[in-house]
Amino acid sequence: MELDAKVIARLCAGDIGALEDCYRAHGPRVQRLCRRLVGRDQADDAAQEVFVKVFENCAKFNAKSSFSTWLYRVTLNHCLKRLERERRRRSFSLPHSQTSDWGEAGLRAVDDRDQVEHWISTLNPEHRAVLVLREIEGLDYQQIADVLDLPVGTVMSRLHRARTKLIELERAPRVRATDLGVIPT
Amino acid sequence: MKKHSDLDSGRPGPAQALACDSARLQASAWTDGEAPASLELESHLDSCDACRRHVEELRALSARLAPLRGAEPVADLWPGIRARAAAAARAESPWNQRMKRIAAALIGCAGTAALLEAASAMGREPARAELARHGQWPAALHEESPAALGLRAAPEQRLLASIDPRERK
Repeated sequence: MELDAKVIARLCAGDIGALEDCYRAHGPRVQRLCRRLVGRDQADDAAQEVFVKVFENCAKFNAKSSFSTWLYRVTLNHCLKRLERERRRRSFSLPHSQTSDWGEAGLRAVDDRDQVEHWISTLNPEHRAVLVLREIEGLDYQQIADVLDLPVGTVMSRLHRARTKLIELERAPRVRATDLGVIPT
Repeated sequence: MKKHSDLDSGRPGPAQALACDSARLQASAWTDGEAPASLELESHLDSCDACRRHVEELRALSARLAPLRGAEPVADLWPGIRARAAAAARAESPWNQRMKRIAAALIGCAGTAALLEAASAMGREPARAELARHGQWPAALHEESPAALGLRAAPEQRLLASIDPRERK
């Protein structure tokens, strides 16, 4: 659902009511995207930050792309930056038993959905972003290329690599689970 | 039909590595409906069990990811967003922006004054030292003696210095 141009104008003028309209229209999708990208533990905080960014930087939106494409871009950039910050923080902290951003929830993967979410979390952020936009958000290659500002060929190859990695994880779930300490050796 | 020697591992043999990788890349776009199945891809899939199995795995993966596509319930974050946005707006209100500009201007002025003073002192000191060496500048002033300090001190300190110490008591 696209935002009305008047709402966007109000948003850019700093009208907090317009921000609520924007959240009501796009909030759940942004929250789900954040959940897939940064993990459940951090998703709500990341989504709140995204909407504050939208509020502060609305003037940077130009009508070259649709508002939802711009919002996807803001969300992805914010989540990728957050993941990078987290990666740096971890590189200065004590080694952790697992490398995903899922925290302890990843180790308690109990059902298939959790398992798949956990696998996605082990992809590198660039591959994860492309996979989530395609498989979860249902964007076509051109839309993904617009959001990420990449050539379509790069989208295609990143998607291929992400899927190949997931297939490899799917083939050896027990080995992976043992690596992570889910299944005692 | 050709079979790969390492079919069980699902990995292509070395001789077909590039072709298989390229075929799988194309197959990924083909299963997404983003590219038509080329003749090369079709003939490769006809002859390569591993790549055919990869295509099946792609479809299975897509089916496995399907539950994540559904609209999951999400928490209402609006109260938190409103609070944060209001705080951000306050931080960037016109009054705060003006105050920030004034503070920045004052800091700039102070910095410029400090730089000018430092530059002036750097230019003065060698000249004074040179004059002092030739007896044209009082050594006491150059060496910052108490007397020199007295001369440069504030009026009340100068007054105090001018009083005979015996009379101060």
